[in-house]
Amino acid sequence: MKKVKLTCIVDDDPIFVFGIKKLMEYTGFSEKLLVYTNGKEALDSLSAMIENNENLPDLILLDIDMPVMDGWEFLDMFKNLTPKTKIVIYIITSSIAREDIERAKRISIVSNYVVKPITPKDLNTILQNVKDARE
Amino acid sequence: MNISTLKPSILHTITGLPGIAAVVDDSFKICGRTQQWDEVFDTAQNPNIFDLDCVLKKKVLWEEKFQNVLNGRSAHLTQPKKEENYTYRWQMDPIIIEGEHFIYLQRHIAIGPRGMRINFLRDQANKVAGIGYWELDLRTNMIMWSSMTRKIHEVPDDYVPKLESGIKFYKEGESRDTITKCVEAAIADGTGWDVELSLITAKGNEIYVNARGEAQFKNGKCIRLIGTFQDITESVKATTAIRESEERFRATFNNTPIACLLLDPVSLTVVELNSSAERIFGFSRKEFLGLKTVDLTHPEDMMNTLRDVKRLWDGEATSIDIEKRFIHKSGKTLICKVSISINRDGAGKPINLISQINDVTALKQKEKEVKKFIEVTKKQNDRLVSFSHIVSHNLRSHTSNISMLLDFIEMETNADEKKQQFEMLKSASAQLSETIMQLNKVISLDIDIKEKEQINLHDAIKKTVEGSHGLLPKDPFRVINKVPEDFTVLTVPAYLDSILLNFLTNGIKYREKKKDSWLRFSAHSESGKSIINIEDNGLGIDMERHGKKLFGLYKTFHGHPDARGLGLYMTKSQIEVMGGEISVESQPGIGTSFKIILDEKS
Repeated sequence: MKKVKLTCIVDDDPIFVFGIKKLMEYTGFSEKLLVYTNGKEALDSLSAMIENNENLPDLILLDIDMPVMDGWEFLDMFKNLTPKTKIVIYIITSSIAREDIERAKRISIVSNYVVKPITPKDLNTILQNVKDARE
Repeated sequence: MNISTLKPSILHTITGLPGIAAVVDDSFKICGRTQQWDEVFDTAQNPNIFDLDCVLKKKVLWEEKFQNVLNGRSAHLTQPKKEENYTYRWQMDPIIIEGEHFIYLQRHIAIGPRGMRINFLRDQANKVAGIGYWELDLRTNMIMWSSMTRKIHEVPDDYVPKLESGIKFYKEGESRDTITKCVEAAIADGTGWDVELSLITAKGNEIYVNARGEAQFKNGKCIRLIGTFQDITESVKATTAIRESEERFRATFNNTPIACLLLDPVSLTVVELNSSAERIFGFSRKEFLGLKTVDLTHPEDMMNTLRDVKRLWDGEATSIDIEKRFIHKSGKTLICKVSISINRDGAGKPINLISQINDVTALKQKEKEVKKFIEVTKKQNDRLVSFSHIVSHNLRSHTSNISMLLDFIEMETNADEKKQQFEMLKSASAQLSETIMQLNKVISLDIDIKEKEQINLHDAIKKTVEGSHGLLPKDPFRVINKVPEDFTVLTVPAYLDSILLNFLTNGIKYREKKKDSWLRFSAHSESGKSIINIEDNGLGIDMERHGKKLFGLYKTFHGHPDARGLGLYMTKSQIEVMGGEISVESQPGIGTSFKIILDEKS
């Protein structure tokens, strides 16, 4: 496995989404991408995918501050879902507030917390982590 | 007559007498003894009277007595014999037989075992009570002190008191003058005395004694003075200590800044008070006495006060500490910390209640001010935390985008791509400027303290709606101004404009497009506060999910493209800076209702 099969990006900032897409193209990170602009969009879509037995993403890159449903709320709802395959979740945010970092650590389904801007090196680490989870 | 015949016959007669008796000649030789004498004394072998132990022991005294008798005068001598529980009296009479002087010596029982026992008990009792006694025989000027009297005077057991020494021990001045007068009066007319005096002992210690005395008369003439001493130093010291303690208590009672009231336990009437009570309550002492607790207590605290008193009465507590309100003479309310305790007599019956009242009204006022200050500070602090969060989050998100885009532009070879990235860079830069501008607004809110004015709210709403004509949507949307036309609010004009505009734009932004939308302003006055209500029938918001974040900086909920997360944050901050409050109720699909509370007066 050289690439992540399906990556899901949940972020309301179009510039960040543009940027990470670009980075992923350069590094050949993922075969496919799903982009949602807030937690609710992502949750609704993923729930439907699980219900319809579709192929689920291997990785979710999740922003915290979003309108309608923020990252925390998404995580709160998402942990009630029962995906058949393991999904690695990374929080990608501009917040360096200690309380946010601490809070992320307390959520078991979150693998790690990455502070923006995201770098090719970060993507490499994430890729490795997704691979490990697969094996 | 032949001496040698007469003497034996008299001696024989004497020896035949009953009782314990002997005849002693001028050389102190026992020349005749009764039978009973022989039963008591073994003098057959040692016929000299000084061979008797009891005589030899006090040889000088006996010799003196014998000499008197040989000179023709009768004499007697008392001899206590404790080991035998008897006191003997020796009677000595002169006999002259044929010109020769003899002493006729008889021993009688003066006090038998019963009498001895009584004396013994009296001495013991005196010893325990610390009572000494003394006797002065005015005919012989003989003075006798009991052992306790010696002890009180701190003189040795063999101390022989002299006539004047009795007086000398009294402390010079008042004590000595008093006892002198007492004794003189007693001798003159038999008046007894019972006085408390100071005495300086042989060792120089000052002690207090209770001296009592009386005179005995015979044929109208005073023959004897008898008296007792009791050392009462301890009791005098104790009394002095109690008095001093009472004086100290009284001084404390009068000088403490705490009001002290002594209350009758039944009627709760004030029976005693200190000057602080007068100062705190404004009533003079005269006005106070006769007032009851119920006259002083704030009506709302009456039940609790009576309940506390009952608890004391029932013995559930010996003292109760409470905070309660009293009414000052002027009618104003006093907030006081009160400690009430109950005093009971030996039988447990309540004697009085002691109420110690500490006026904390001013303290409470200060506490209130401090609390308010802390509240304001806390709110400001919250804003600063939000602010730092924004710095951490929003500024970083823009700058990280910018740095990322710059990297791309640098590497990009495709001109079209480069152009697109450059457009994005411009947009990111514009967002950064906007964020900085908004943060400036937030900070200035805390830094610039603006003057408040009375503003007509009805007109202000009207003006806001007219000024925002361009914002009003094409679909049905009504602004209902229910605020009374003469209703004014005390507010910072610029803040009010900003608040009203924000509610108007929010009302438009979050209207339910399928409905005939409306936004209604109303206001009324309530116990010194201006209450402003802003209601709509718009989208509403899930309070359970978003309630806590609703007024948060950069929090948006509906995904509306124009939502910045700044409006309600600024509104709340402006209201709080003016000392007001804002609250919200909302239901998705039904609408939202905000309530603003502002002080009518500053």
